[in-house]
Amino acid sequence: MSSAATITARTPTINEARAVGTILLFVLGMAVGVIVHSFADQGPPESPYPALPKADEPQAAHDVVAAVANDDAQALSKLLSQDQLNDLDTALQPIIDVRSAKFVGAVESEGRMLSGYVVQGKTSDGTDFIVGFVLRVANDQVVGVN
Amino acid sequence: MIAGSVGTVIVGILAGFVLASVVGVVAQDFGLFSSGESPVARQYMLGLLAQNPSAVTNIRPTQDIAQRAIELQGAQQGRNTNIQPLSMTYLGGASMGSISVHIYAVGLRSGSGVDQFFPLALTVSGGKVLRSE
Repeated sequence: MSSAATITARTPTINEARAVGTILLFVLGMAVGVIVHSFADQGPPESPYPALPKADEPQAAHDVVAAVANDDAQALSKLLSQDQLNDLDTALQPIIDVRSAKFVGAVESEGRMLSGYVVQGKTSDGTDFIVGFVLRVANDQVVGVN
Repeated sequence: MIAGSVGTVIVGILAGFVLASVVGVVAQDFGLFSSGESPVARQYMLGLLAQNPSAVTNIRPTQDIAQRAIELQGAQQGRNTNIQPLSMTYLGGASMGSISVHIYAVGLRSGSGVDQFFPLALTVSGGKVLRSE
């Protein structure tokens, strides 16, 4: 085989190797970029304030939210006072049709407990929406709605 | 040859950095990792507890001058009454589309020594806190 023919035969192989090398270098660079970003993006700033330990969901709050989730106005009317129902109404705005209510966490401080919930539902114009509210619990009773 | 290789690696690093940033922002906005605390919500809470309204200016919808003045007045009164934050606990949250809700429990001690324990629910969308109650 002549030297010209040999060069012609090897050229595609060299080009392929070069292309693969370029892609590998690019992918290597991307990996380094992602790693650099993970160091640069430190996430939420550290809180200088201590966090309280999480508590289990209080039964009284669970009963209220179960009534909300089940659209059971009769049960809800027996569990909360009129002021609390007004506060709940405000907290649920603009949702008028509750589709789900999820417990997200509770904490306790000196006998006062806060139990947090996220509610998903529809607004009056049918738009999906999400709101959060918190039930205050003391002495195994719901004493407030925020 | 070497210059070309170095250039390829540099372009790759930039692409990787930008891609990671975009994925992070999109994941945050669309709640792909809905169980986690939002950096925006955390920043808002820290600014609030530090009674520093200017720290949360860029993560809140634009307010008119009267609202900003009321906020500054409230912060000044808070500093005068020497409110001391005792605790800040992230209870949890959830997302729906680009809207996410994050709930916190805050413990404060007033200047007169009275402890308060209250919740705050933040609604976050598009990197801003739309609602705080």
